[in-house]
Amino acid sequence: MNRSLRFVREPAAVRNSLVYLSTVRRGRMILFRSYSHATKEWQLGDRSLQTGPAVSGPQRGCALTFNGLGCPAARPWSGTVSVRFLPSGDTALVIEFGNRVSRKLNASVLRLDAALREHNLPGVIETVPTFRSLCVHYDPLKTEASQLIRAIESLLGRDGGVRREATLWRVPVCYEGELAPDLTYVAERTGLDPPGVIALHCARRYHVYMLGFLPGFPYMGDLPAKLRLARRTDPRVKVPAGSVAIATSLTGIYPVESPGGWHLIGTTPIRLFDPTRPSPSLFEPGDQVIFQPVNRNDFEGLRSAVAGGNYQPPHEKLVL
Amino acid sequence: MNGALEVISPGLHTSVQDLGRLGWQRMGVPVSGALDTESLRLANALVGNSPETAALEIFHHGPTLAVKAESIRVALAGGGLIEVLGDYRRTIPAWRSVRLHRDDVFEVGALQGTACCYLAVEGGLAISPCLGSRSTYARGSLGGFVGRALREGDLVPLVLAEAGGRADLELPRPPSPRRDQAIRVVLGPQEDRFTAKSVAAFLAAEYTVSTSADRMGMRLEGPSLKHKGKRYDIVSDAIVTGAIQVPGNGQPIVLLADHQTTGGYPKIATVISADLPAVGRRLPGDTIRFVAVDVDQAEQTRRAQETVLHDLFRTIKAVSAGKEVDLRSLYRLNLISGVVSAQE
Repeated sequence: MNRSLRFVREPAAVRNSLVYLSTVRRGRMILFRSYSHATKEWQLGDRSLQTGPAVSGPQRGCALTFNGLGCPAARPWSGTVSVRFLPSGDTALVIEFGNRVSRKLNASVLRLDAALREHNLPGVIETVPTFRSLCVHYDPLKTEASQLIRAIESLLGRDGGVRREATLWRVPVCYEGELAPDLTYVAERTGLDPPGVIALHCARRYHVYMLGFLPGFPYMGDLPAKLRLARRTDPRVKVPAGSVAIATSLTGIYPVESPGGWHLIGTTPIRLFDPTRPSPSLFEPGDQVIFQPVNRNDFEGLRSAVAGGNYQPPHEKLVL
Repeated sequence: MNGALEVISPGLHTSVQDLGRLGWQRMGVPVSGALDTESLRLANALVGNSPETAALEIFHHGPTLAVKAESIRVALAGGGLIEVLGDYRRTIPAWRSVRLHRDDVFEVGALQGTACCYLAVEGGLAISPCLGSRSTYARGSLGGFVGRALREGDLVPLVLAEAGGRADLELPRPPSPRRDQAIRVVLGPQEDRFTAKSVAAFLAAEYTVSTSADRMGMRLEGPSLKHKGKRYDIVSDAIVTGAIQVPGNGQPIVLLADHQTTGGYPKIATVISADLPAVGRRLPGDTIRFVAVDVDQAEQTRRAQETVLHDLFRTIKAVSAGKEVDLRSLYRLNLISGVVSAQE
């Protein structure tokens, strides 16, 4: 059985007047409920309307399509977000907002993530936000997918409401010598000089889309268009811990020594992941990061301070 | 002073594992934990521990260990044999507990019929949890015994200095899973990234477990699966244990306990949680066939399996008279004398 729940924009004909809650079967929209913005009321789908307009390709309109699980609680929905519920076995559910690296999609992911963390649904073990989807890990002995889908569907419908906190981090980076092994290459490939690369890399506030690959590895973006390069064709076997790297539209930091295929343009002395901290990763999904160049001397000083446990990078709380 | 187990030889990859490190995947921390949680829980039950207690996971080839405690009680579950070396040489099968004494040396050799088994020690291992779990994530040097698999000379600290005085326990009818039963999967989350022909082939074909199989993943060999439009990567999303990802070469990889939390290859299907222990037990060269079920069926199967496991727990009982193998205790109590060969 294919389970999918999809919100789509309302058809032009009913925009601002009606919202359909429907399912798609064999390319036909089947209406369950309709909502009138004028009367602010839901109505049961008219039997005569039960075979709706033909549907093909991506649908416009604010219809809610729901395959295989019956009709969820009727409720007005005025968003333009399109969501797919994808099964990930019997222990996780993926709520997919799209398939691109996009701030807008990621904002939806993080909003739902915050809502789920606030509501603490029974049986949910943890949630994992990614660029464009949220994975909800659950215990099949305590809940089930169909129940979770209904609960999440109702959370999706709520506009805002959840206060999301984030932190802005100022991360010191030394862009010199062997601490920046690919800086010259990146400068050549981008037609900039090394100071130009550094200036561009430091000119922006980056958004932490997600953490993954390694404990504490932040995927941050977006890089200025000029700095975007494909990954290395020959990944390194050993990338040192603290390496600040770029690839495609993203920038990241290797929290521990590991293999890696990104271009290394600097090194930070700070520790991104420490399992002895109450929250082991310095960054959380949704945080913001500004890189600040430091010279070799300052880098060494900071590195000793970090080793002695006497340094935390400057940061401030943001309320989004 | 607490007891310890001294590692005389470590085996292929012997690591401390419990039921996994939950709650930190959003920060990129893998769950880890036992490959075969069912056997881990049974091993613990056999020594009177709660099911989530950390134990030693033995992978393919077991360690040789020396008892550095007044006495210990251990049990092996999932497979394997405990060979006690030295003067009181004897063989203890899996699925029962046994009391061993100071300086006893015992060996769990090459495993037969399974890739992993579990050695639980009564009272558990005296290891501090890391992020809520004692599981070892070796690639990240996290948790377990100093963040890695055991090495020669390690002293693994135990909670108890002496085994409890009660009778040993056994599981009279241990599970005897076959290694050729079909593995049930739920298609997705990205089965739509594969051609219909490939999805059909995936479910029809017989795959072979390759030698490239570890705690992170199991590479399979068989019919190559084709991605629609030759697009081998997706924008990274989350990975669950049991996800079957297919990189560009078309050969599926079943991701296991130590898998990364996120990844960029399309996942054609996900092994249902009830069948994960069976996948964990498969050996290189074993065949794997996949059969699709839906989420409801997968959830129901898991619940049914949990009931079966609880019923199994209830059959655990004191070792029947005549199967007692704690020779040293018997000598001490002067209950027997002379040369005895302990035959199971």
